[in-house]
Amino acid sequence: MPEQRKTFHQELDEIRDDIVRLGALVGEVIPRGTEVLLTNDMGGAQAVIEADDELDDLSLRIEEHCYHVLALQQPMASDLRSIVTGLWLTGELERSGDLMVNVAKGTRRIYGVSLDPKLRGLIERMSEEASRLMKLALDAYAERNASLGVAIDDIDDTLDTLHGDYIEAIFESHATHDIGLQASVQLALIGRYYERIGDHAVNIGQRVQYMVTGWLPEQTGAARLVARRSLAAEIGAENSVPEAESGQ
Amino acid sequence: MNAPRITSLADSAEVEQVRQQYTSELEQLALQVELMGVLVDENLQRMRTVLNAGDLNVAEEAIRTDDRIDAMNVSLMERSYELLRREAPVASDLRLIVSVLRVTAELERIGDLALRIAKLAPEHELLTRVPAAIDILETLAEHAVNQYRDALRAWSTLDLGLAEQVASEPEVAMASRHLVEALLAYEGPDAVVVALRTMVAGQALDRIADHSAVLGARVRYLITGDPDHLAAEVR
Repeated sequence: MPEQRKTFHQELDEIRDDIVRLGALVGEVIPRGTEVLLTNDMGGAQAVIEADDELDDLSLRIEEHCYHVLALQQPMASDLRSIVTGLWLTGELERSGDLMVNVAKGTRRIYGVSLDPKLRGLIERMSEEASRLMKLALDAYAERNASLGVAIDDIDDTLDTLHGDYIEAIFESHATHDIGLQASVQLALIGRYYERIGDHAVNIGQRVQYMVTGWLPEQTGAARLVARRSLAAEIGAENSVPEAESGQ
Repeated sequence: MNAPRITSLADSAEVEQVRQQYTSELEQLALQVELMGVLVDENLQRMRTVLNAGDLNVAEEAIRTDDRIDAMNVSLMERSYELLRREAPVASDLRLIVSVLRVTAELERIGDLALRIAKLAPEHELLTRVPAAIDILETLAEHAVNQYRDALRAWSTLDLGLAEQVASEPEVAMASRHLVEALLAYEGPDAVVVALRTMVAGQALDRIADHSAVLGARVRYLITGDPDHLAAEVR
């Protein structure tokens, strides 16, 4: 039935493909933004900033597509989870792209500052690690691999450690007057952008786990609350304390 | 599933009753989001107390409250799904339900960030090592909480002007810059660890303000339904 309108699953597949494409754009902009930073490339910085429009457009289109599918169909539970995950992921990816725009803007502010090899090396490694995390998160999404999704949180520890070393290196360079105050500040802010991209990858991983299994990280907290309440109810039955969280 | 066909007056009354029940469920849903927002607000208060005094008991309370926030997030999500499945909503109803899913995710993140700061309580002394830095953190906290409250108020009152104002609030990059400057000026032997802890707090506060701006953008879209306003989340 070729003339029939797109089936529901075709629509879902399209959303998935678009999200993978959005993820690929983010995956490209991370090393490109880093290259621009390390080579003091002002034209490149401008190009990174302008390229973000494409990313924004695509994420907007995906979001509208999700609404469209929700409005036209009556999805089943697991499909609903896929669509809602799609909505969340566009937000995470779009903001990751924005962070590389911030790196490009930071590049302009430290124009002409030469970075010592240690700092350069750490920036490269943070960038690689952020790219790797994003790629793994997107792989987890495309393959519907929940266990990979969850694992990203642990893998992110490497980026956190690198970030700590990086801040230390900035302090060293600043103390020896290799870089001035303003450049140190900019570099410290730039380091945070990479760290935040890692956080977005972790979020994506958790969303993937939810999409596949229906399990949310928040359910642990919710379960603790229930456990506390039932414990309090037991104690309450003995000591007649009315509320779980009374007397705080 | 198509709407039930009306074949008699009695049926019509029944349909009307079902319709009213649905409307009240939607109202309840929006109200529950507000309640979740109030819990998050309580934890933002605790976060400020911790920044100010490093109170460990308050940090404990924040951890417990965060479990309640998580529980509300899960239950709101389930209710939204139930409505999506059962009612196949369109237009503004669909927008409301999807907004609930988006907004609760933002609220949950804001709650997590508040908790991240509250958990610094045992290391509060490190945060106060550089007086200028803790002052900036408290200023950032005040700004972030004000932003958040405006966003939540925009949600409860569906105030378009307020939502737009919160959505377009510029980033507070200036304060973050001063924060790093203050940290770099400090020359104690623990300078790096002081800087890292302080920056964790500073970054979390920036992001609370950022998520509040996204909340504002979401409320604006909920009110206007203008697809262009979906893009408003972008920076």
